[in-house]
Amino acid sequence: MARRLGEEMVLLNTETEAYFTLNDVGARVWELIDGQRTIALIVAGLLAEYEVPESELRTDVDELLGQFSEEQLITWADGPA
Amino acid sequence: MQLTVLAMWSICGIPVVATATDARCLAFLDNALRRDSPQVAASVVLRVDIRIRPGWVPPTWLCQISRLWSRDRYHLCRIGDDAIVLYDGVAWGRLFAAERRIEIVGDRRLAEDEFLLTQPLFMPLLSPALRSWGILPLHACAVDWDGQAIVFPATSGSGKSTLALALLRGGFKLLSDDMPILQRQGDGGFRLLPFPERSRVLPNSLDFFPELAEVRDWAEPSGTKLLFDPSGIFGDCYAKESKPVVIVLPKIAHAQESILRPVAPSAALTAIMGGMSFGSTGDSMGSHLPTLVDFVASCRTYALDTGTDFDRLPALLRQLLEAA
Repeated sequence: MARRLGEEMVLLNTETEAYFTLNDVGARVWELIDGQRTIALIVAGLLAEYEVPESELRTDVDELLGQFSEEQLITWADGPA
Repeated sequence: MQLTVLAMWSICGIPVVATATDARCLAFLDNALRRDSPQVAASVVLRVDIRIRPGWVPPTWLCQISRLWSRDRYHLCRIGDDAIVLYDGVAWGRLFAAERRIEIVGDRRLAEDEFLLTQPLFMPLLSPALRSWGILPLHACAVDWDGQAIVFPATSGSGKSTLALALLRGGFKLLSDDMPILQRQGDGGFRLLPFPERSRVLPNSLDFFPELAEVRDWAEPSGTKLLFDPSGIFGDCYAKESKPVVIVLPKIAHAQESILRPVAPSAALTAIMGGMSFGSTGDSMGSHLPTLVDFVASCRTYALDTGTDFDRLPALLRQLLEAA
């Protein structure tokens, strides 16, 4: 379950009862996960919104998605791309 | 085993029916709660059953518990949707959620020690019981100034009771020292309601307010704290309801000057969620999350490093209300 709170987002995994807070960028990553977009498309979407080097953004997105997976907030459709 | 009949209260509009094998237990609950006006018995009530046994008898379901938090011999636990408090060798309490019934079983100390029965056993189970009715008690202190409320979500030891005393001295009114009730209104806004419980404060906290020294003479001991009704000092100091507009996260600072600073709303939400986690499942927290997010989003959020400048605090916090 996800809810926007100002610039941040709060996530609650109702199965594990774990609770998370995401900053603005993390919240946009979450919002861009729709079961269809690849990581490359998510990064492309963020590059259009944030002025940050692509390599740095890709690293941050990979790390964040890894944490989401570890906390069972997402599953990979075909494995991390 | 004969049960003594019978005590009835209304807590937040919920009829509560309690039975006990020792009438002193019911007297303790009656003393600890400032009651609402009495309600006619309804078809759905909260049952509280208190049973005294000659010695410690571990509950038969002990091996099924999941321990959530422990300190020394005291444990907060869960089995499914049922919240459990366990005081090793002394007593246990369980909220049977589906039955809307609290059962507390222990040795004769339950009938001799009001603090033991009410604070570590009954009150932690009452909060999740009320949540099952959609009533959201917050683990917080809440005060009112002219219809606007400041909420101080905090764990024990954060100094919120002392802070409340300082604000009462400065003309604020009290909604609750420990558990105000959050209610969403039809227009989507929120109001806070009082919870019928007296205030508890550490004796040392009174040292900050010399004019309150007399409280030591008539307040009742309650564990390490003193239990008292602040209206005995401040007169009509209770608010009936208030609109929450500011959330402040207090922390004791070992300094003279108190410092207020803005914080992210997520910090306030985290503090509030933490105070509600006991007795909640993921699904029940999920059902409350939208309300809590909307509540926090409707308020301005701050952190307070509380110093010893208690005379200055009321004016400092009133400024937040003027700006809201």
